[in-house]
Parts: sequence; structure tokens; C-alpha cells
Amino acid sequence: MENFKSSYEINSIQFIEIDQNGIILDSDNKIFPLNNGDTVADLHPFFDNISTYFETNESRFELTCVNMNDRVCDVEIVLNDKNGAFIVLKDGTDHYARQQQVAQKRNESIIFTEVLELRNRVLKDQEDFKNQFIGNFSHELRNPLTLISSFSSLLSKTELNLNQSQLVQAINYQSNKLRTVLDDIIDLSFLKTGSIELKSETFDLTAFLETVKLNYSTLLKDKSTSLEVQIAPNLPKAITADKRRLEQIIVNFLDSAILHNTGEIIELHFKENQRRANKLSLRVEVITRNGVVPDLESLSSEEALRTFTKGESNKNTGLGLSIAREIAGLMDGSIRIKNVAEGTHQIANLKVTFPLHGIEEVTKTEKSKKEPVKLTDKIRTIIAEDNDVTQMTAMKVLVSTGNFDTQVYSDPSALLAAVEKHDYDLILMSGSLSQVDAIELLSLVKQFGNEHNQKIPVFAVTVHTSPAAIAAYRKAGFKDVIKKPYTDDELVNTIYKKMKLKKFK
Amino acid sequence: MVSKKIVVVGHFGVGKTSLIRRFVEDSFSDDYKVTIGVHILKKTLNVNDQDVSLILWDTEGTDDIEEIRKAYLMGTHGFVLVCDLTREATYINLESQKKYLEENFPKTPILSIGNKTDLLPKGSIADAKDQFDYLDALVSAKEGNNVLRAFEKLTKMIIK
Repeated sequence: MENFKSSYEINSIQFIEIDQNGIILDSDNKIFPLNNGDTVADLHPFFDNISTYFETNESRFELTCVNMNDRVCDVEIVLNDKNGAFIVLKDGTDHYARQQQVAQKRNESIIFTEVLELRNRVLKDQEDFKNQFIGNFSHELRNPLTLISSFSSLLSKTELNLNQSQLVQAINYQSNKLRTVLDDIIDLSFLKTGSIELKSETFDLTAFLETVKLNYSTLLKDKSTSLEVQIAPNLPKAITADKRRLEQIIVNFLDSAILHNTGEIIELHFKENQRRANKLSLRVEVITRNGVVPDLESLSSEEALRTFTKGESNKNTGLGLSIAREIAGLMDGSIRIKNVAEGTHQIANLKVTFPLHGIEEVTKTEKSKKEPVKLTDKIRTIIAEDNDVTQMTAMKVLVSTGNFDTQVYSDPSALLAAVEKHDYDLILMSGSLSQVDAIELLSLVKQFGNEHNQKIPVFAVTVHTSPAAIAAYRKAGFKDVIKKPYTDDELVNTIYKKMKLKKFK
Repeated sequence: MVSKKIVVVGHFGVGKTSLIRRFVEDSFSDDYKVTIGVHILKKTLNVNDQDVSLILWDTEGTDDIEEIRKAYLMGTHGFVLVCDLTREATYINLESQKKYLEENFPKTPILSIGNKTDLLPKGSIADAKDQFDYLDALVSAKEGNNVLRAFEKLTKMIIK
């Protein structure tokens, strides 16, 4: 034993000699007090299976970091020539305590990252489910809505008596309202997922606000209210921003103001907070001096519902403020609803830019009434659509103009046979036809269609109108994308705008 | 009394120590304390009218089972392979870990356990059973569900 001990130099070491049955023959008791004649298994359950080590061909075993009572030891078992063994216990408690701390931090950090990743995945799954749900839900609604919108619009252009005219107007009004709700849901969904990018265009601020005011003229007249627009004189004449999104914010403010205003005037102010170089912090403020506009997002769901269901607004879906806030966020800005005395200030602070050297001429929005297009030759059109309602809607709308000769295909192979045999001028293709995706189908049309048909314009008519989806359709070769639900005017005007009509006149 | 060595292995943070503590002391702590090296505890179980002394080796968690020193595993009568049902990283390689043990310790029973059923959404245990059909038991060291049954099952496998 003494000879064996001399080969070790460390102080905190205990040497134990045992026989084959684990009976302690000798121990220097440097770490644990032991008695000769006791079994080593009494020290710690680690030694319960000590006999195992006698059953192998090896004679030396090392087990590091064994937690033994209140100590952490490295254990060495060396079989000796007396059919017994020497056990060496090296106390590494302090060393392993430090190692434990390091491992604790490392493992906690790894587990934290894993949990974060998992949460992210759960959130993404929820988001995907929501988007899928919204996609399906909007798809189901869009087809019947397209029919209602288009047919009521068509009907309103025919000879009707007063009673009929009012009924059609009511249908038109409600279907437009439903369209707004649907668009808002989809808009909000895209905004929340960050799939909408702002489009920059430079426009004349005064002309823009005149158009906004003009759009509200009828509604304001009905409410015996007037809209006072004030543009701070120091503001640039033209600004660069996403005109449509800016209008959405203003429209939301005005809709809410009109809904809650009890006075005669609603004010719309455009001011400058500050500017640096060509960057401008723009303050858009809609003020009601009589009538408090609630911040729907800060109300309880019951209060919000009560406010929303007042039923006085023609446009307010209850989502407008959420949408406006998301848009303001995209414009590096914010929205605030400030209630004062009897009224409310709805304020949007938005970051825009403006041309430093002014612009010679900014395109003004024109609302000219277009003459109906009359063509000598009819546009030979394929409607590739497997939904009965949408088929009928598109067909009726196109035929009513007198400019289209339509054929409907709901089966991809019949469509391919048709484009191989006959010449056409236009294809309106649904997002999918009998489960064949439109992009795939277009490539088949280009492949199997006759030479003439390979060059004709193909429009996608679809509910999938996210920027990414539109880009994918364009990249695949579609002339344009027509968004469902559409009105009769939207459908035919898009076609007229994108087609070369000269050859049909 | 017959004595059997059971080694509990698995990824870190899956609840090996909690599982053993629940089995041996019927207690649980929410605090996570990393196990360094090996802790050894003892528990006597009566199975088939026979008292069996179980020597439970609680090993340091690792994602690579081959890192565990062979000396720790020498003389093992049964393995408990533990994963955390809420962390994919802990069960994604479970099959290969089990295969490694089967190849290196032939005829040594292995019980695969999915821990932390208490963290699964309520009412989803049945779904989890389908999803984790390769596991022998789903347990919760926190709530004690199935823990005793799992160790009894392994002990029966060992002494049969």
C-alpha cells in the first residue's frame, strides 16, 4: 500500500484497499472515514457493483466526476495481485463546481435558444394557419361577391323603375361594403406579416387632398357637414410617398370623424413637424370639435363592438385603425387619438420625402368619364375557370359590352386542345383550373398552343393578390392580374388598358 | 437481495435527475441544475414478489451518447433513455442512440421515456402517444405521472 501511495503526489487523495468481496482491508481516511472490515458499498452506492470490475480482463479503471456524498471525486480502481483492488479517490469538488457553473450557463443558454426557436415556430405555424384560413375564407367569399358586385352594377346601368333602382342600389351598396371588409381583412393580414411594401410616387399634395375632399362631398352633404382642408404654407408642393396608403390613413380618420361628429365642420390639417434635407416629418390631423372618436384598439372588445355596430358608417369595418397604424409603422410614423373637451384629434406623424428642386408638373388625378369602348371586331376570349359562379360572372360582364366573344373551359385538357386548334385573342385564367395551377397551365398553353395563341395576352383572375403572388404571375408571363372580387368596370377596363385595341376597331 | 444497475442517459435538460428524484424521493424541483459527471442513488422496488435493489446512475446530459465513458456503463443491467417531449433536439436522434446502446450492450433492456407530459397542451397526450409511438413511456417527473410504472416496467424486463 505505501509503495503504491508513493506514486501519487496530491494531498486530497484517499487510498483504500479492498478484497474481491469489497471488504475494506486498509484506508488512510483522507476524505471519508472508513473502518477496516466494513464493505466499501457502505460508503456509497457507487461501490455496490464493484464486483463488476473483477469480472473483466482489464486491471485499471478510471471514472471521473463521481458525486459521492458531499464530495465529487475521480475514482481509480486498480486490481492488485492479491485478488483484491486499490481504490483511489481524488477529491475534485472545487474543480467540478467551477465546471458545473460553466456547464449550467452553457446549457441554460442552449435550452433558452431552443425554446425561442420553438416559440417562433409555433408563432409561424399560427401565422401560416391564419393566413391559410384568411386565404380560404376570402376565396369562398370572393366568387359570390364578384357576381353580386358585377351583376348589380350591370343591372344599375339598365332601364329600371324607381323602386327597382333603389333595390339594386341597396344591393350594390352592401356588396361594396362587404368588399371593403374583405379587403381590410386581407390588407391587415398582409400588413401584419410584413408582406406589403410601400410604393413611392411623387404627387401634388393640394391636388391629392382635393380628390380626397371630392370623394367625400356626397357623404358630407348628406350629413350636413363640411370638410375644411388646411395645408400649412411651408409644406412642399409635392411629396413622395405611397399615395394609396396615405389616403387609407386619411380615409380612416375621416370615416371615424364622420361617424362620431355631431358638429358642422370636420377639419383636415397637413403640417410640417420638421425637415432635414429632403426628408419631412408630416403631421396629418383630423379634428372633430363636436363628437369624440374612440380609439377602438384601446376599448374592450364589447365596447369596440358596440361602437362598430352603431351602423352609421358606410365604410368603417372596425379594422381601419389597425390598418392605419400598421401603415403608419411602415412609414416610420405613428398614430395617436387625442380626445379634447368635446372633440378628438386623430393624428398621424409620418416620414415622407419631397423633391428638393420642385417638380415642373405633377400628374393630377383625373376623374374623367370614359366613353364606352365600342369595337368592330370582337375579342375572342377564353374564360378558363372551373367555378360556375365565376364563369357566369365573367361571361355576362364581357358579353354585356358587346366586345367579346367568349368560350368557357373548366378542364385543362379541353383548354389545351382549343388553343392548339383555334385562334384566340385573350385568355382569362383562374388561379387554378381543376387543381392545375395557373402558372403551370400557362406554360402548357405556351407549349401546346398554336403559334398565334402563344403570343396572346393571358390574364390571371385570382384571389391570390399579395405582392409576391402578383410578381410570380408576372414573372410567369401573365399580362396582368385581375383581383377577385371585381366589378364589371374593373374587369373590362383592365382588359382594355392592357390590350392593343386598335386591331379590333 | 438482488442488486441491478440502471443507467439513465439522454440529452441535457430532459429531466433525468428530476425523474430519478421523483422515483427515489417522490419530490420535484423546478430549478434546473446541471448534472456534472454521475450521481448515484438507490431504491428498492418490489417486483413480482421480489425485492430488487436498483442502483440508479444519473449521468451528465449529452447529445452524443457515445461520449459517455464506457467505464460508467460497465455492468449495466438496464438503460433508461430519456427525451424531452417539448424539445425536438432531444428526441430527433433517439432512435440512433437506442441503436448504439443495443449494439454495444446486447441483451441489456432499454426503456425509452418521453418526459414533461405536463408541458404538452391539455388533451394532447393521446396525440402525443401517436406521434411518439417509438417511446415506451410518456411520463411527467413534475407531476409524477407514469414514473413508477416506467421503472417497474424496466425492472421486470431486467429480472425476467
